[in-house]
Amino acid sequence: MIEITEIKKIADAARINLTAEEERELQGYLSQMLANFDKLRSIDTEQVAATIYPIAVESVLREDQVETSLDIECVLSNAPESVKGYFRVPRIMEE
Amino acid sequence: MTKYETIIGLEVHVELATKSKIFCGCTTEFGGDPNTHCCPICLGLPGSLPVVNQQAIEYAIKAGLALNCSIANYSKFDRKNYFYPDLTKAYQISQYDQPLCLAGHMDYELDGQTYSVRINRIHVEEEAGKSVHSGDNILGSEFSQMDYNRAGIPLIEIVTEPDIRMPAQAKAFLEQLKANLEYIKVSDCKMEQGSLRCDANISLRPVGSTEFGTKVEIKNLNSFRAIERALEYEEQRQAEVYDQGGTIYQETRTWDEKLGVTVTMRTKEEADDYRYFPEPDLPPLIVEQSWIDEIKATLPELPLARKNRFIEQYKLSDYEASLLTATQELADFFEAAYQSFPNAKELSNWLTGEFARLLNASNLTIPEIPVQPGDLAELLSIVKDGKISGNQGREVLGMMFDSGKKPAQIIKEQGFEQISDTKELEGVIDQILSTYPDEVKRYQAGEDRLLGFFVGQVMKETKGKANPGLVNQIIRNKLLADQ
Ligand SMILES: [Zn+2]
Repeated sequence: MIEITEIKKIADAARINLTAEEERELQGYLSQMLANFDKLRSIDTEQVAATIYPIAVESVLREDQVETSLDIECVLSNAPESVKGYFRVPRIMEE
Repeated sequence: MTKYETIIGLEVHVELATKSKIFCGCTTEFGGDPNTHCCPICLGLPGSLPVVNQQAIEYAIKAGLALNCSIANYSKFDRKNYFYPDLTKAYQISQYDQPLCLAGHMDYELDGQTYSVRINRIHVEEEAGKSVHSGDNILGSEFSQMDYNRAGIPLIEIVTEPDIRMPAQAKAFLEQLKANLEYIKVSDCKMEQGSLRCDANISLRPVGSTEFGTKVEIKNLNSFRAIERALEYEEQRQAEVYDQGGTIYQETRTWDEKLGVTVTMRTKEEADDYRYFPEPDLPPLIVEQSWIDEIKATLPELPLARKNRFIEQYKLSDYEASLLTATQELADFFEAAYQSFPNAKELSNWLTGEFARLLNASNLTIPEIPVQPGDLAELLSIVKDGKISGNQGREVLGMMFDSGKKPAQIIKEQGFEQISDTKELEGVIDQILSTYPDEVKRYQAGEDRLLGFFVGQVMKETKGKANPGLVNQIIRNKLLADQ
């Protein structure tokens, strides 16, 4: 069983606020999920290379060519707020 | 500081000089109105897919080769996850466990000694956006203004091994690194524009100990001088803590330039958990050996090697050779001019003297000036043959910078040709000597310094065109023969 403190840590890393009830609910789901991985872990994969990419494509590269960027109206159309061409976001306290 | 040994390692971020961003076609040009160099890819809009810029990889490989790294034939990109408004996607595409360049080293000199620093790795990643903090304060909450023009500019991060032993070495290493990167033209390395940035790790350990002490990371180092000062401060601070029996905690500190101190930014407990995982939107990066060889063939001789060759081959001093090899353009200019004017010392004096002064004043770079190496060589030959004086030569060089004309033409137009005709000079000298009979007597009585006076008068009479060496000789012969 995954610890509640671990659930809190994961929620914090993902910037999600959970109620105590939700934490317990997720504790159940995630524990079940981890148990499934334990089953997978029991398979011997010593001779099998890790599969990171589902399809075999290698090194797709593009020429260094400048293309037209979006209009500023377009860029800011999804911004929660904007001012003088900038995205305006709550200030993060650091630095 | 004899009780402790200082251990320093550096992490250097360098923006690569590509025309377009690393994963999209937006321009990398510095400045521009905020958010005008953005597209769905660098804004991280859903459904957009990054494609790697080949030139960025080429530059990264070139940097790796210049720092004697081995280049990985297989490397991959990873997501570094963190929430911060400078990232549009809430992750940065970087390289985690399989970077492009590994295990290199770079040599540098300090006070006549050569040191080597091992390079742990160089990985490729994307630049983050820039926040401009606004002063406006609405309902008590402050805001940041974000500009993503910079987001997605290709970066390399160069990580050294902890091989540096004092702050001055860190500075010397960085200066050499910058020179190398400028030589191979992978970055403009402008610290003031942020295209070269450095974080430093520093720890102390008792002399003789082989275990590392707890390291502290210093950020916000905006100049080489700041790096040296911050490290000196931190070296002192840690020594004092240890002297008082205290403990150094692993933390990140920021350098306060104004106060000249480092301040705690975050401790290890608050450190981010980046949850790296392979970037599913990008296939692995396969680099063929033939491509690496091709790039290797374009590597120029690096500044330190070139400086040492200049000392050896042209018999120049260490100082002269460093000045001449400070930029590739100047070193190339020197070597090209030397072909037609094989007097290294004289050529060096001109290049690091009047030429450097004119170049500086013109605000141009060597490829932008109209003066060709052959032109300078021609001018110096004319001066050496005594056809014009050194002062006139400097004047001619100035006009070459301004007009792009050849030295011979300028000399003709300006009537600068020196009088080296003995007969003609004797006539003028006889006239001067007869005008100043008293001075002649005093000179002959032993007042040697009057020779300068006579030469001066002859120069005045000939409007500076007389060959001063010849005038000197003729006057001395005449006055001493008269006795
Ligand atoms: Zn873009």
